[in-house]
Amino acid sequence: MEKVDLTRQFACRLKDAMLAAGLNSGRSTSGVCIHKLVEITGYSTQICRKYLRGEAIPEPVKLVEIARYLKVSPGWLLFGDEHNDSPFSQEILTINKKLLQYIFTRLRSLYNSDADEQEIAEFLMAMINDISQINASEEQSKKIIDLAFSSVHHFTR
Amino acid sequence: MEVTLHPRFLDALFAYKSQAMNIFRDVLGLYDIHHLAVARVDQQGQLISFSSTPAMEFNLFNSELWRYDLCYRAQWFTQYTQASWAALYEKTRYDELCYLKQIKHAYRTTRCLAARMGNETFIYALASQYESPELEERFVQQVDEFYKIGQYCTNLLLPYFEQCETESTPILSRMRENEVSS
Repeated sequence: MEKVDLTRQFACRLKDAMLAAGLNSGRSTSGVCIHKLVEITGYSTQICRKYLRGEAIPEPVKLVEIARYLKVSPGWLLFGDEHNDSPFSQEILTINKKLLQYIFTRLRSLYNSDADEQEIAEFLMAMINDISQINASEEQSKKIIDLAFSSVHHFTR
Repeated sequence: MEVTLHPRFLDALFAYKSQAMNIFRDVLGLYDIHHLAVARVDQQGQLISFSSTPAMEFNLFNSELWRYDLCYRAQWFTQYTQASWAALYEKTRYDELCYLKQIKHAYRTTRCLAARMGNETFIYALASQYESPELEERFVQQVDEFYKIGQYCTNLLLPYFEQCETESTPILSRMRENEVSS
C-alpha cells in the first residue's frame, strides 16, 4: 500500500473512531474534537491536525494509546485490519468456524498420542492462536493445521 | 551474500511445532521474554527459522515484507551485533513491519542478535510484552545472557534444522509459489 493512501485511510478511520466515541465537534472542519486528540496523545494541535488531515501517522506506541482510548484495534486504525490484535482482547481469540471445525476433526490423533492432557491443551491453544493470527487462505490454513498435527508424535523430547 | 528463503521455510514453522514449543517453553518467561525466534542463514544464504510465535514469521515471509527488515540482510547480520527490531525496519515499510511484528502481538520491548556458529549465522529475535526503562536497559546491558538463551535453543533445534535438509517436498512454500505465479 502507498504511504499516502495509508495516512489518508488512517485519518478516515481515526475520525470514524472519534465520532463513534462521541468526540465530535460542530466547530471543527474535521468534525471531531481536535483538543481531545491533543489530550489523548499529549502532542501539539499542529501535529494532531496532521493526523486528521491524513498527512502523518503517529508512531506505534502512540497509535496503541489512541486505539486503547478509542476502544478500537490498532490494526484496524492503521490498516483496517479486523484481526484479533486489540490490546483489550488478548484474552479473546477470533477464529474462522470452518477452521475450528477442521481442527476438531483432527483431535483424535492427539489423544491417541503419549502426550498428557495439559500438553495437548497447550498445543491446541497455541495452534488456535496461530491460526487466528495468520493472514492465509482457508486452504493454506488447513495445510498449516495438518503440518502442526503431524508434529505431535514428537511431543516427548 | 543474497539471502533467499529455504525451500521448506514456511513448512518448518509448523511441521516441528510441538518440538519447538517444548524447546522454547524452557526459556520463555526468563527475563520477561514472551517471544523467541531462531533463524539460520547457511553458507548459501538460505534462511530458515523456528519461532515461538510462528504466525508472525508466516505473515512476514508470506508477504515479502521480510525483505524490508534489515535483520535479514547480510550487511547487518555479518556484523554479529544487536539492535532493537524497530531500528532495523526500512523507513518505507516501517508502519507495516511494526504492526505485523509488534503491535499485532503486543511486543513492546524487542532485541535482535546475530551470532556466528561454525560457518552459519544465527539470528535470535527476542521480545517482551512488557515495557519499562529497566527492561530496555536489561535488554541492552545483559546481552550476553540473551546470547546464551539463543544458543541454548539453537543447540536443541539443530536436529530439526538438519531434518529440514532431508525431509520431503515443501507444501506451504509450493502453495505460495502457485499463488504468486497465478
